Amino acid sequence: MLFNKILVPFDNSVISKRALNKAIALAILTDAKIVLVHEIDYHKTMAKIVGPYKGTMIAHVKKFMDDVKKYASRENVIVETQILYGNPAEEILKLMGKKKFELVVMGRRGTTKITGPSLGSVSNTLVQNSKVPVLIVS
Amino acid sequence: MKKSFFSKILVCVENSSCANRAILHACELAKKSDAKIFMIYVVYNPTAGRGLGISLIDRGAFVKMFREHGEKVLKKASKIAAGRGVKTEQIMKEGNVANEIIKFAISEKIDLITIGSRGLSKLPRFVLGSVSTKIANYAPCAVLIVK
Repeated sequence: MLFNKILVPFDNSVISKRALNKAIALAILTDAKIVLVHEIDYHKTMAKIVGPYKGTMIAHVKKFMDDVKKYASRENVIVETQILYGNPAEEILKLMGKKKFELVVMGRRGTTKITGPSLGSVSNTLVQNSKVPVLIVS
Repeated sequence: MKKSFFSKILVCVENSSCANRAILHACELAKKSDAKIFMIYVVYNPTAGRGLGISLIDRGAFVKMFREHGEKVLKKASKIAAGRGVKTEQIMKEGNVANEIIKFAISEKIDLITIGSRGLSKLPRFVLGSVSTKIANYAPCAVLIVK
């Protein structure tokens, strides 16, 4: 029942920061480890356009992931980070198949802003397909 | 960023394995964070003219049957929680299931709703049920969807 590993898909948006806070609180309560995942939506067509900027993108992601690590270490929570490339939902699901997580904590929607209270595409896919509990933070 | 945690947890109970797991998760979280647990069971009470199959039999009897069932399920759920040393409050509502749950969550300022991903209808396994989808979409608070 207790969580050992919590997966947090993170995109540095306000909502995902809120989700991260919940995940950290949960991790403190249950002595869990957090695995922070950022997805760079990177496919063949994109690669042609943003190819030269890939380094910059990765540097940017690494920077905010390091910030999270520092923030979490103040609360004595271990954070593992990982960057994935490809379709966000697909790759996260693949990762969940490979590694064992007990819980997924994520924001309702991320950087895409469509008005209205609804699940974003990534969170929707994860909620539908995940085999472990998912905590949706709004 | 401030550290916040759940002080009021709402569990949607139902006689299904997913919902039972949701109760266990809620108990565990409540114990850790000293939260109060509300258990809700909503009797599906179709408004007149809707709910096709139900109009064939006596609607009063239908609702009564579900009320009795709800009481049984709530009792069973509170026993599970009591076995784990968590005190709960039981609530029974009538109406549209998802709407009533969301309304209650708003009025009581609930921090977390735990719900089973799939209830009594046995559609394909990893598909989310209609009630849980609606709650995940429209709830004012965090939602834990238990598989």
